[in-house]
Amino acid sequence: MSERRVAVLFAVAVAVLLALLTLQSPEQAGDMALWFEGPIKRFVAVVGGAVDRVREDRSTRAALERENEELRNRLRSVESAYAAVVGARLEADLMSEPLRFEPPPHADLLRADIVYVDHRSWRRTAILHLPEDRDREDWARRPVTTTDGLLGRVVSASSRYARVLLVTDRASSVGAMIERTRRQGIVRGTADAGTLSLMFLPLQVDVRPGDRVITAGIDGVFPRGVPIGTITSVESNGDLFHDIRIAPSVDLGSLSHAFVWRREPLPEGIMDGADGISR
Amino acid sequence: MASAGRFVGALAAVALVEMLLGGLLPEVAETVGLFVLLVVLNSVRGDSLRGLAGGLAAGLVQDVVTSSVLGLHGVACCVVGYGAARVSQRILTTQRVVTLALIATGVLVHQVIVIGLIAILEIALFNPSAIAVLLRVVLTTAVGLVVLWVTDQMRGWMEKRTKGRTLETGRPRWFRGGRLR
Repeated sequence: MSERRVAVLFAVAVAVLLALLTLQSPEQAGDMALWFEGPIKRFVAVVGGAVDRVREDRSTRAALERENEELRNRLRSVESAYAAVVGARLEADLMSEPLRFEPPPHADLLRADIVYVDHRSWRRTAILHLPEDRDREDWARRPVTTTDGLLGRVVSASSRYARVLLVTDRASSVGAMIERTRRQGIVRGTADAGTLSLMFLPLQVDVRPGDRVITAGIDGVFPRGVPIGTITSVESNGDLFHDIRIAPSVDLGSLSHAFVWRREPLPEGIMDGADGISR
Repeated sequence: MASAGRFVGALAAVALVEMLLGGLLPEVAETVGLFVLLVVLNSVRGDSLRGLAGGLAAGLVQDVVTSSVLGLHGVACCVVGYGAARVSQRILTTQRVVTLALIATGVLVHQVIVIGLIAILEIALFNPSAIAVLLRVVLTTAVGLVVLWVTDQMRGWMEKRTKGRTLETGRPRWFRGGRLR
């Protein structure tokens, strides 16, 4: 018999004996098959994973390149807008110089913890825990904002706590304006706890849902430009003015911190007209 | 045919000795691989088919005699027998040291295969140490040395006896008178 045939016979004999062995322990037969099959499957999985990774990397890279290009374009437009703003500011400074106009001083902000919020009852207020080293300051009528926009104003303070009248309270009034048209009105709270009302805007004024409403800085309390909310509906109910509803920009259901503006309010006497001016 | 008969006789003798050792001196039976020794000695004196067949037969008999899983020693002895035969076709095995090296390698390969199969198939709680394997290789090789010496002595004695009888009459004793007896 040739050596090749003997070799084949040898392979057959070993295979038969191994099969005989695995048959005697069938629970291990699967393990033995896995022992041979496992590395092959692992190799296939590794190769497949590598191919998938390469493919994924290519698609991710293409998406990143697109996004990068888009961001570059946006950066260019923002840079040009910023340059225009800087130019306008320089121009305004140059023009205001002969008029001796001085802009109001900037206020600094004090961070305070909100320890109590009641934004759904009759009196919608929040209580702040004031900073420790500010015990002797007069907190009354100071604006309170969050990172999202206007929250309200301080109505009373005691030791290290201050009560804030929320902008959604019906007793709250804020001088406001539509950012797009600069048209001014008064924002007040409504019976609905999550809605504000913009009042005293005549019917001929251009107002659209989606317009942003900011503080106008004309009420002697709030600084100009703080976001109040976004107009959700504009209706006319036969009156002279629009019936405008606003969604507040501050989510009153997720308050944790607020900022109290250290900005001197107008003196009470001037606000009340008791400054000695007689008509 | 005569060699096959001699192998069968030797296999029966080894099986008998293994059974006796297993009953009387089980430690010795576990330490000396008589079946592997037989397989290697059978393979170095024949072709690969003889090595394969001898290994297969001896392994299966060992499985039966030692009451182990059928096929465990069969695989190991089959590989050893076929391998020893293939190796002996390529090198000169007339020198005793070469045969002893083949025996030692055969025992080692046999042990590796058996331990590997046991580990993979988890057939039994059998986990010999490296020292036990080494001891088995050394002792089996030593027994092989003795067997080779005895075989050579017997062969020499037989040749001397046959030669002496031939010299007496000029013909073999079974050919006296010009006819077969």
